[in-house]
Amino acid sequence: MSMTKHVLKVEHAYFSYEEGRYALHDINVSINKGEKIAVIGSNGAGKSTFFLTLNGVVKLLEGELYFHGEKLDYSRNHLVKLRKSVGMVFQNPDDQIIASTVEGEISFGLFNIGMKTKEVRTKVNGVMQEMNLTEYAKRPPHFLSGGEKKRVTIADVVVMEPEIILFDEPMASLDCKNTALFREQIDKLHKRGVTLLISTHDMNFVWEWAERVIVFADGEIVADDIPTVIFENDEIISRASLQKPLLFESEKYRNKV
Amino acid sequence: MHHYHNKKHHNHRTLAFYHYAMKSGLAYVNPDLKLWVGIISLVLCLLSCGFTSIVIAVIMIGVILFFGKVNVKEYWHLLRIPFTFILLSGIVLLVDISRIEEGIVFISILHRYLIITRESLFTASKISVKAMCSVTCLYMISLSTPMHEIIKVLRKWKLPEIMIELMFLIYRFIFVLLEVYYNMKTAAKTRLGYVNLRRSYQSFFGICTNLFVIAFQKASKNFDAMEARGYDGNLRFLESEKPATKKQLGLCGGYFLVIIILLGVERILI
Repeated sequence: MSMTKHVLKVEHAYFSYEEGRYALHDINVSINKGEKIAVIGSNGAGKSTFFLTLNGVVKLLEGELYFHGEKLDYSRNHLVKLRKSVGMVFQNPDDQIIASTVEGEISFGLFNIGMKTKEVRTKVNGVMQEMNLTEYAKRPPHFLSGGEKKRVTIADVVVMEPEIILFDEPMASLDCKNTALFREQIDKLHKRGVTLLISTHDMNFVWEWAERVIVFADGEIVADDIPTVIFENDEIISRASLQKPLLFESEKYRNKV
Repeated sequence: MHHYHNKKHHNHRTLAFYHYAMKSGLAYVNPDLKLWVGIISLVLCLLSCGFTSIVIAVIMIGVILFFGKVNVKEYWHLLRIPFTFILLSGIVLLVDISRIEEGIVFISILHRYLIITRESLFTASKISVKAMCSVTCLYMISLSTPMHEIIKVLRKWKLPEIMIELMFLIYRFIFVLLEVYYNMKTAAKTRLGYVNLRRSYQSFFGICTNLFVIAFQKASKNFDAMEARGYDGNLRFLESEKPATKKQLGLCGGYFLVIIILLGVERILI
């Protein structure tokens, strides 16, 4: 892999919220264009912090973050550039939604990167149409249903046309219908060439969807490989307290018989 | 948070205002116009010393009930609290203490008299009526214009950006805190936390303590999410333009003309 293919690269990254306990411990990872990456690990393993790091919200204590080969110096200019290209969809929509109308909410990021109202209007209308949100445009997002809120928060990020989107446990509170909708949505984004990182506890989803799996345990990356390799390694599975996907097990069982 | 939307919680005043303002029949009207009409009406109300303020109040109530489609009963519920306060302060103005028996009513207490004179009756009723009428003007604004639109207008009026930001974030956090509070209260109820008065007090104070912790965590999460989308201390959102129509402007012009004439008449009569 050549250097230019890396969209994001983290080297020897450390971060801690409290003294004496690392939330991220010596993280080394590079993310390439168009990858479908699942980030797994138990609660508090460092997945969310890792995502916040990639977006520049959490400033690394030690280590470097490279964006297209350029080292992030946490200056205003660099951060704007990074945050425009690396979008993050938070786990709980209520933590993310800030505006009083759906269209206002979707426009927030665009105004922050200094876009003019006319252009913002065009982009927001386009995304609302694409994500079936047009009828809610003037409604307060806080009174929408869980699935609709999730759609709004995804639209928030998609509208900025990022290269990478980080989804923090996106399916944790979705029903079957909305989960299916979400799957369609991410397939569309993947086809467009967007790099996707999804943190999840749903091993069946990981098995079906991901091309690469990053496993976190106690703030460290304990494995980073294709799904088959990860799920065949019992040591990793037990260290990160994971379970094997049902489909993986049944395939293995069939092969044996 | 959609479940606070329903009837069950209509007594939560902030949410009631929010709810009405979003669904108001006047939501399509230009917010600048609504704010100007409300504020000028308020000033005229205060300038009046007689029936004009009542005329203004009747018009404001009419507008909000008829065009704003606010339910009469709910409107009365919302008015009750400010009216109670106004009546209480009216009583203070009304009653005086005197050494001698005078005025139209007097009650002897501890060698003194609590008295009501013709003048105090007049002042108390005049001021109370004026205050109540002013409240209806402000209610016209709050029940027809969502907070974010009011803030937008204030920004246009060149209020400092820091105040605009604070207003918006505080307003947003009222909702966050209320949500957390109701969730915790429901959880406490399911464990019989409100079984009697004593337990209710304990549960209430327990919730309040936790509320601060949770509010802080929520605020910091919220801020992370804002930063992730490039927030730099300048809140801007896409808003639909609602231009004022000639008909609306004409109606408002006519209304102010009538009120000013009435004010003039009032001055001549009194």
